[in-house]
Amino acid sequence: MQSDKTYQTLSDEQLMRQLASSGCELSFGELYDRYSVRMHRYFYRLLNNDAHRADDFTQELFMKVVEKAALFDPERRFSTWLYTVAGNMVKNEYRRTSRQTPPPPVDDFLNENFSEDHDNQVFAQHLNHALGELDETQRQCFVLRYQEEMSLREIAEILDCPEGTVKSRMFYTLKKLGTKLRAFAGAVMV
Amino acid sequence: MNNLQNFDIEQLLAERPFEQLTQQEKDAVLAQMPEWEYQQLHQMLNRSRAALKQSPAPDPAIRERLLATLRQQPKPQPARPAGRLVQLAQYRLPAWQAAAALALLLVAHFALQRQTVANLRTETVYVNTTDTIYKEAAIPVADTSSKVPVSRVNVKPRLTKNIVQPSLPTEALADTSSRIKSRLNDIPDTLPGFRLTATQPSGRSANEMKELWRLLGDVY
Repeated sequence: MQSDKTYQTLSDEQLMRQLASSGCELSFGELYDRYSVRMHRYFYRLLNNDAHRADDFTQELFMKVVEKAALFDPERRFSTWLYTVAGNMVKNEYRRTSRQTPPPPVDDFLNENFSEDHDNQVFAQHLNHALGELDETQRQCFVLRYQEEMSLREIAEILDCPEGTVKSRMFYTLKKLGTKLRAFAGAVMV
Repeated sequence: MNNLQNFDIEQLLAERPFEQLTQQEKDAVLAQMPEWEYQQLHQMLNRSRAALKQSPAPDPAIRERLLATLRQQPKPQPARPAGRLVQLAQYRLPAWQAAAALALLLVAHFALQRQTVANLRTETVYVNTTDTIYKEAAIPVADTSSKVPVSRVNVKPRLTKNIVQPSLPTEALADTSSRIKSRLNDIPDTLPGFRLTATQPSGRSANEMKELWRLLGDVY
């Protein structure tokens, strides 16, 4: 039996292979520890800052990892596969609800108590509003690039579109956000 | 080209303020947007990164629930090593190889077929079958044996009596022969219960073959 430390040195793909071949709990635990916070944050941002829904989606996502471990292609990067599955879940949710729910009101957001600086809280609130007004693909692009800090190639793979498309989408998303946050940016940034 | 410029500017926006850009980079940026917009987007991106990091942590109970689910899952069975026959049956062949083998078989088939036809030669041959058909017939003949003096007879009468000489007129025989021939031409090669073959021994009596006898009766 390998120790927890040994599992920490294994790559994501190796852990997935172990999970698929023997249903190894330690492999799954290690993968969960590596990705749960990131995936929860991803869902939180794309589902209009709804922490409870983010919890549900995180649990469902890792349930898929357990159930579909045998279907994972070890030639592919685990992180890309995981974000692709998560993106599809969000897309299905958008389709199911047919329209995106508006971002939470200001008071709810300020009660979360995870921001030190008031200015940053206000900016974060405006940013979330602005993100909520983007279409789902633009929002996904922005979150993957600036929250998850992924390369354009990785984003292209996750969104299953050419890299050039991601580049141009990113540029126009930035311009759109700049326009939406212009008034706020003038007051806060100057 | 436009996409490349967009990518470069997006990267510059994420990395450096306008003052730190080279002159070439500044020119590329200014072709797309004014300096103030670049500064604004750059600041927005920096603050967005910090803001996007803020999010609540996932519920710790999720991990335990998932591990409990994993424990309940049936453990995957290790695959048994397959036997040689199974391995042979499971051997995967690329589609192009299968197609090439099939094409080769077809080519070989047609090539061999053509070669066989080339070896054959047609010749004209003449096949002739001759048969003699006898029919017993009673015809009136002059009995001269009683008028001939015994002294002139140099053979025993009993012996001469047993020799039966068919003495049909030549014209009649020719006519009969031609009629039989013409009738035989009309008869199909195969008759029910009887088949005329070239290997039939000549000179046999029709009495020995009832079918032939019946046929001759029909012909006449």
